[in-house]
Amino acid sequence: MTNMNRGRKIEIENGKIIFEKDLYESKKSLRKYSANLSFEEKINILLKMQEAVRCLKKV
Amino acid sequence: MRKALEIVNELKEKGIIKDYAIGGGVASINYTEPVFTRDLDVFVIVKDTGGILRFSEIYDYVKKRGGAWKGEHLFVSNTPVQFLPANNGLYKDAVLNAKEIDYDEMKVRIISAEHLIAMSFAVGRSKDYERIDRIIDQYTVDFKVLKSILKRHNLYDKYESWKKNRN
Repeated sequence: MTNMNRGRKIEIENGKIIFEKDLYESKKSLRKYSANLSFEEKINILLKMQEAVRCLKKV
Repeated sequence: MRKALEIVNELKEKGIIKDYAIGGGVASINYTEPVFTRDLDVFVIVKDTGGILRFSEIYDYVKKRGGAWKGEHLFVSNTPVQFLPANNGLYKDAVLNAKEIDYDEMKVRIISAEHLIAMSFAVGRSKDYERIDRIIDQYTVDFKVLKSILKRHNLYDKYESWKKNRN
């Protein structure tokens, strides 16, 4: 099903629904946010992503 | 991640490997926004004993430092580490020309953006082409260097056809 303003619905790993446009916006803001971060700071974000995936798998 | 990188540096210091460089998704993060990846890919130049590349010394050392096999991956803490041979061709070139960067008060060798792009052309899966797009969009790639790497390793045709499709 599609929301007129927020695009197609996407089901993510834990069964939650997000909209395509929200996903695109969050990717865009991550890119903007990380533009001036050091490698170490970006790796810290990756580690948080990995932790989140591990938590989702446990659910 | 820190412990895994610490161990990789120790492998070089102790002469177990000749040299190394981090590649794959973790290396690409140096040039782009953080992208999810599970593994730490470590390209290593190992001692060549009569044409046989021996990885057992690497695995033994990592296990001695707390690493453990889970399925097909060697884990250090929560990080699956994959050691990949780089004793010739593009991969050796990439390791020898890697750059040293700072990470958590230590130096880490990372494959250059240009070599990472060339390696992505060599492998050629859809996720590799996504990586190429991401690096070129977000990092100031030295195209003179990139083209020379691609020509040296017979990948220039792949670049040309990718460029044609991209425009």
